[in-house]
Amino acid sequence: MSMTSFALAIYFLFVLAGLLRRGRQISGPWWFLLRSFLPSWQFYHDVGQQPRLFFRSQVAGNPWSDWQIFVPRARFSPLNLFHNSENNLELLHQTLIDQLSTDIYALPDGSKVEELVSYQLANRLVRHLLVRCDANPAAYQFEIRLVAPLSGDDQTTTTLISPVMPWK
Amino acid sequence: MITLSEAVRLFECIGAISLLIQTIEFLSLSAQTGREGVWTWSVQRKDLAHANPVTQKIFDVLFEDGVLRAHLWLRLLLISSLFLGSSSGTSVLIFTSTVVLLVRWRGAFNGGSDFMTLVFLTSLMIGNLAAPFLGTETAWTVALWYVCVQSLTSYLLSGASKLLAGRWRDGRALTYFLDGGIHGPLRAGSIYRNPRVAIGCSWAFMVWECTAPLVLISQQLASIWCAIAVAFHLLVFRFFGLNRFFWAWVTTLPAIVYCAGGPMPM
Repeated sequence: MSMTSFALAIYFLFVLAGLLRRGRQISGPWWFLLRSFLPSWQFYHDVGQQPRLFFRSQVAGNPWSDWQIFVPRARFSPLNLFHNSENNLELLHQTLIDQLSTDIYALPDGSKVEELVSYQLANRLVRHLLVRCDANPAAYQFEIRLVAPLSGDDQTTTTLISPVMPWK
Repeated sequence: MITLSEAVRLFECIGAISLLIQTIEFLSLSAQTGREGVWTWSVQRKDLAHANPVTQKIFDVLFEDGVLRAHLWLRLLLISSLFLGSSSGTSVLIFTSTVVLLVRWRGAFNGGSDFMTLVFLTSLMIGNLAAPFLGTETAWTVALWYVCVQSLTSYLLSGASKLLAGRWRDGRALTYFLDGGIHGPLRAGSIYRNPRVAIGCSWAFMVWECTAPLVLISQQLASIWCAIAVAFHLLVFRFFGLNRFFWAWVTTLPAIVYCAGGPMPM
């Protein structure tokens, strides 16, 4: 075995060991914006609680609609291999909900959730979803719920309830 | 056996296709980054509240609707030039453009594919910028080895992290993720709901991913392994809609085949 092969073998063993023993996470505002430089490598690695966006609306003078869940869904087309902007945007919206859930968990005492960028973007997402549904509401509200994996929808934990917001 | 120049040409061309697809998708999402869109800069700029006023102003200008659109069209031109071969200038400019676009999408648009795109662009910079100092052949060998190791590491760790999860080992995670995929949920009668099929598929993926470093033994083995990789990424695209992952990882395959059994930079 040459020195380079030996070095490669050591490298792969080292990264495997790193998987078992994780160090402290790097954080900070610039690191967040440049996090694509840091590999995660853990794609679909385990089944955990999934943050989901729920929203409802109220047309003037009518009762509230049922809560609707936002789940990225689309029909499959082989052509999407070459152009898939709408579906990638849907997946990005779920990433935003994941980020909001993380931000809520990390929110320092005394801070307002409404000041989070992820909250404000999620609010715009809800408005976008309501427009897409032709809802034409007078008011709306949204929640972030953690949906338990491999179980019925009834096993959820609500981590955020927005105030009732006028459509304007 | 694939030669260095063939591997570099293939690497540049598939990478260019990947970048073209990404950029055209960004152009078609312009409404989403506009004033009325979900991802309007007026909200997102608060992510830069910690930065100094000059930096904030630079990004404000860069992310004006017209400037961003012009940037994307210029980027398309630069990427198209990769089909004729990369240079120090184009690789640095496309790399910088990619970092700016990542900031526009809050650091990541499509997770792992963004990382692998940065690896591709870093490799182009290594190959071009190091050539005057190391010689063209050594510089590109180092560049391809860099991509090869990053790609094989991603497969190895992705497989190993699944292997550590009990729900992947018993096949339940596969059904769960397929149900949650953008083209899900699975039909009630889908074969992937059969526990034996789910366990078989899960173990096939995990073992295949974990064997990634072994492809360095020979180019023949690497070619077979890479053919399976193409099929694997097509399946991921079929069920999860991740077209960018397909192109970002397939870009790395010529580097893997070249490096397997080929010359090492040291």
